[in-house]
Amino acid sequence: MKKIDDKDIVEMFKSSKDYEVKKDANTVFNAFLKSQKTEEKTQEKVKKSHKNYFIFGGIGVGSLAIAAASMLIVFGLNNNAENPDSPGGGTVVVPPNLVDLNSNALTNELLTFSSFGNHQNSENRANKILLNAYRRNNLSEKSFSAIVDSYDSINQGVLDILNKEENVKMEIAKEVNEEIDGTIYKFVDNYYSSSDEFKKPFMSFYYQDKDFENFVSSEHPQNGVMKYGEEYFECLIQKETENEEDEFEQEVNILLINKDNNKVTFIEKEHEYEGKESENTYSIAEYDSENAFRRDEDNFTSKLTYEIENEGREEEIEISVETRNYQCEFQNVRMIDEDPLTYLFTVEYENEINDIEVEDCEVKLVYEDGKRTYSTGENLKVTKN
Amino acid sequence: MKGENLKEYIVNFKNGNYASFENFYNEVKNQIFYNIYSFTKDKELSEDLLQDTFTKFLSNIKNVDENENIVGLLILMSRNITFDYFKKHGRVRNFEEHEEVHHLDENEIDKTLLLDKISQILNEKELEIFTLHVLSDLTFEEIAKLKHKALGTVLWSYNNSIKKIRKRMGSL
Repeated sequence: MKKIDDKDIVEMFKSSKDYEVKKDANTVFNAFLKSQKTEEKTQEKVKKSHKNYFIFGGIGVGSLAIAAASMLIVFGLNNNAENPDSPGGGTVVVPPNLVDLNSNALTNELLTFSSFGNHQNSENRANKILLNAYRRNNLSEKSFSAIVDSYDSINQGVLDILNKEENVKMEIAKEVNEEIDGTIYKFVDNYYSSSDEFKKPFMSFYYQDKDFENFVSSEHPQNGVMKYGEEYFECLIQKETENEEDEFEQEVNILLINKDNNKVTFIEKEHEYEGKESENTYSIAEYDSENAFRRDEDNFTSKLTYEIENEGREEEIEISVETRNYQCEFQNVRMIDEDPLTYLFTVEYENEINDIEVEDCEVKLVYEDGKRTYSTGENLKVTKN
Repeated sequence: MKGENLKEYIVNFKNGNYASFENFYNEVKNQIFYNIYSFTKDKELSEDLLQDTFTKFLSNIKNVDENENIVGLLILMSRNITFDYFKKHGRVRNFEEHEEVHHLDENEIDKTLLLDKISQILNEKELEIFTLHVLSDLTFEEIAKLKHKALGTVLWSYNNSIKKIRKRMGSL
């Protein structure tokens, strides 16, 4: 891996004077002795489920996995752009990849997914909001159960994918000259995961040449074939970047066409930051065919969108899912307590199949003892394992 | 080796022997302090939170594995304590402008001043990774583990930070 040239900057810091901490060891130790009677709270972390969830509304975990994995290709090609003199030879590097919920390192990251921003909301205020929402909606058990299933499966599904993609290594620009459907592809980037000890690539991206300048300029999209598992997808990538001193904007679009069934997956990722504020949107939409996609981008069979806004340490998330029969929006998803880990969000939900419509419903989600408990108002509660 | 020294301290503390606490505290306090300061930008508050960190650490000493990365553990604790503080009290203050470094007496220029300047250039998360590596002496692998990030993510962020700092080095 290319070494980071930071010697001068590190030296500048190391050679400067240390700040003289005024509190001496005695003072600190006495404070400890005084605190001996205070009861310590331990913090519980979310246990990330490794079950496979089928996301309500028809967006399968498999599709999300393909979409998320395909974003790795963007990074891979970027990596090639930075190292044009090192083609082939199977150099293995560790790339930035899908990140946790509290990341904002996005230019080369693939999915921002942050759930740990702090807010000043108090528990009492949250409970009042919940009670008012309950009264307003007169929410039934059936409706609440549907909402919980929806959020839980989407959230857990994406977490599951993030866990899966957490440790990825890639082999860049291996010269292979492989024929796929009558076309010879000169290079391949192979992606390996720690989940099978990096033994076999879970994904490969075949392409003709490393035309980096054109790719970076985005006027000439990058073409290739993506192999994910045993499926092949024609892959078209476009990227636009604007970079100034305090501002950065990037838009990445990936179009995947399944070679067997002609179904299309279209992934859009937009990332902006300015100073200490950032905004990121990630969406994946599925279409029955390439024609359906080309005719009208709103002609999708299903679409999942994540939007995350960061300002300093504050963070707000919105998630929406839409299919032909079902629409659901989870707004203002934010953490309100760390111990136990508690989230609050507002739901708008409409399902034509089971005839449920809910507006402006506040839901509280508590992670405790390895379970997730959803509640709203005083009476409705659902616990998931 | 520092790691081995720290291990000995922990074993003693677990046995109720705190005679060497002063040495332990003096050996690691700065690394923890700078990390807290990178969030608070307030020396007095950072010292209070530093004290809280060690208090909590000693209170939980029975659960500490002496073979663990002790500095990493202290940093993690200090982060949580700092964030808890912000949650209850809000952010302390906005960053205040400092005079240009070359106008200050040599004795006034310390790492906190440089950190203040850097915080004008980097965003919060970049600043944290930078501070953890350069001032708290954590390796990138340790930082990745601490922040539950992929190593590549941490490296990319740090590299980006170095580029940003270098671009503005004239103003430091």
